[in-house]
Amino acid sequence: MTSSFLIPAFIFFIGALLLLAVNGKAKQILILAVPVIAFFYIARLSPDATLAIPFLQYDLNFLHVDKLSKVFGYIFCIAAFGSFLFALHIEGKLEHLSALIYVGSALGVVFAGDFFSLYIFWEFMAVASVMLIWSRRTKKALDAGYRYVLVHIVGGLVLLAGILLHVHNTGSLEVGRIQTHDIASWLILIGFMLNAAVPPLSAWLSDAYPEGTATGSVFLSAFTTKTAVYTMIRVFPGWEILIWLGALMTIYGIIYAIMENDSRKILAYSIINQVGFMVCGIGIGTTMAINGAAAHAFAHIIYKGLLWMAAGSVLYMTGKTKCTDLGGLYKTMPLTLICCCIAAASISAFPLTSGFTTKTMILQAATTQHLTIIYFILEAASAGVFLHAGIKFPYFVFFAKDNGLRAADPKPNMQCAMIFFAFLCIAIGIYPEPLYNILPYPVEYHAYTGLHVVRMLQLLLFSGLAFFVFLKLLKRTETITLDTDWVYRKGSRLVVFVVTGIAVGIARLCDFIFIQSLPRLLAAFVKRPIGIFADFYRKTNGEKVCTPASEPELATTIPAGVSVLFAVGFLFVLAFIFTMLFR
Amino acid sequence: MKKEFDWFDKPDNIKKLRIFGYVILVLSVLAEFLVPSHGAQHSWDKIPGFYALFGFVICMVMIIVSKVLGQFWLKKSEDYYDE
Repeated sequence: MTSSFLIPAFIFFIGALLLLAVNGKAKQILILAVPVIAFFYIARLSPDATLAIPFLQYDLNFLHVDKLSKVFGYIFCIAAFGSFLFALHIEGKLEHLSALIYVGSALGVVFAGDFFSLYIFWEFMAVASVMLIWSRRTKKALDAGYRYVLVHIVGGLVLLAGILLHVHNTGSLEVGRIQTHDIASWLILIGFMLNAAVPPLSAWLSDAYPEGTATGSVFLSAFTTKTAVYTMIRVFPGWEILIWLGALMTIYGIIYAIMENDSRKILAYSIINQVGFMVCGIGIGTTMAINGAAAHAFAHIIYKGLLWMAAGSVLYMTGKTKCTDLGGLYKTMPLTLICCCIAAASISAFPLTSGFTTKTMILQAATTQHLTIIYFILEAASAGVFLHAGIKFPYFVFFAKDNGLRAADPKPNMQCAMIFFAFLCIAIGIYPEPLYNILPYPVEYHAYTGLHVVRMLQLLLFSGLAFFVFLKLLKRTETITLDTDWVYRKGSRLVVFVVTGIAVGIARLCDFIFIQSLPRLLAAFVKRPIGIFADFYRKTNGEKVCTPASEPELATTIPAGVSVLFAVGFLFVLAFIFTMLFR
Repeated sequence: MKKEFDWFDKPDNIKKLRIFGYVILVLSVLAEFLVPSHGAQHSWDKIPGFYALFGFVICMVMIIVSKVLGQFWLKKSEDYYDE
């Protein structure tokens, strides 16, 4: 074992510290240099490197290196580089700072060797990333950010509960494959599923990501869900339920993306759809399927980042995101359009793009395992991807009805970032071998057979035909679409109603007792200590009660013995209290 | 002022595109007869145009399902949560 003193996460954290000290050009160089340094550092990491820190009776291992963690390490650095390039022009430091901590924490999770350090970085990610949403500085973004961070804190607590139970049951902190189906593993799985946006725990994604800043959402699209995919690969490969949940995700994302009007919400739902393919692959769990899931995550981060860049460019230049407000932008944003189309082709898995060489591995794994129903669901989802992300998104944003917008292509750094990602999309599509070589298991798969290519083209082209045939049904409406966040957005009002109902009830009761009745009673008691009892005595004897004003205090008809009895009782109480106090 | 690029706004060009699209569709089905089919792994792989039909039908189903879901249940006005 070689002990290392530095983990990739710390490179980003150090970068975040340095960021506070630098400005202008130096700041730009810094945020571009950090991912590059981290990339080469990860490439140099030897598989037996560790960084163990003793904590109570456990050893926390912050550095666990194998091929799987390296794949995700590489792609996270590439995604960070591209995203920082896209955000290079941002003046303030807050967005860059939170992005650096966010990416660093994601890398921290990837290289975590034990559950505790994984959990620490896991929570860091949620807190750092919310700043990318709040930086939009709109009321909607503020609200969505609060919901986002609250949901993630709840998910984190579920994960923590699972981890604590798991450590209690097994005595091991190590992040490794879990095969027992007990409450601990289910809680951990639910924690992971929430971050992977598995329905019904997915609404935070489509709620919050579209509210992020033009540049911030590019970061968001890459890290949270893919970190969860990574942890699932590590801990839950071959769990059958994931096959079905993944298949459900692919279809769920499509149905919602077809309904949505907001262009960035379409992209958010297509993340759920794409992560579904990966989750399904993890569930299948064969070496082929795991390779497919990792490769697909790799390719997905790039083309999805590129799609968010295109949408971000449109938002940055026009200030609009709704399909009903956009359209006709092909005239003035040609570069954004071309890059967007490359990303759209990649996500649809057109031959010669990255989706084709990675997603088909998962389909192949389903075929090999004779999962016929799953195979058809995934094929259907592949067709549906082209429908919503491949055509619908570019069509309604860049073509369709000309709404008179004449925005130009965005700033040069944003254009460079888009070209960089577009290049990678095509490169992985044409020459996937370098990617195949870094996958966790040896790859024996050839994407480019005649049959594969022809079948995929048929599937996609005829999906395209369906889009134009049914274009009338797809007409955009100015609506939002209800998702499971309804439960805590509208349902919370029910909770608030009930809780405030109870609270107001208690408050009224207290008000009646302590504000209105008791002081009056006490006041009356202090004023006429015996008198009120005299009133009570008279009342019980059916006599007329007289108010002090109409009847002198001393003219009472109650026996003197009663007063004496009260006086003795009062002294007794005082004596009791004092003996208790000064014992 | 430079004349802006509006190729896609002209009905003639859209017509050309449409014809081009149909040609591509037909070609993609015909291409299946040219590639060797020995790599077929499923029984349905041997049916010519299976994936074309599957792609079209399944997209039709998904469009209709989301249309129905949206129309009767899930689509709400934009101020739904503001009330």
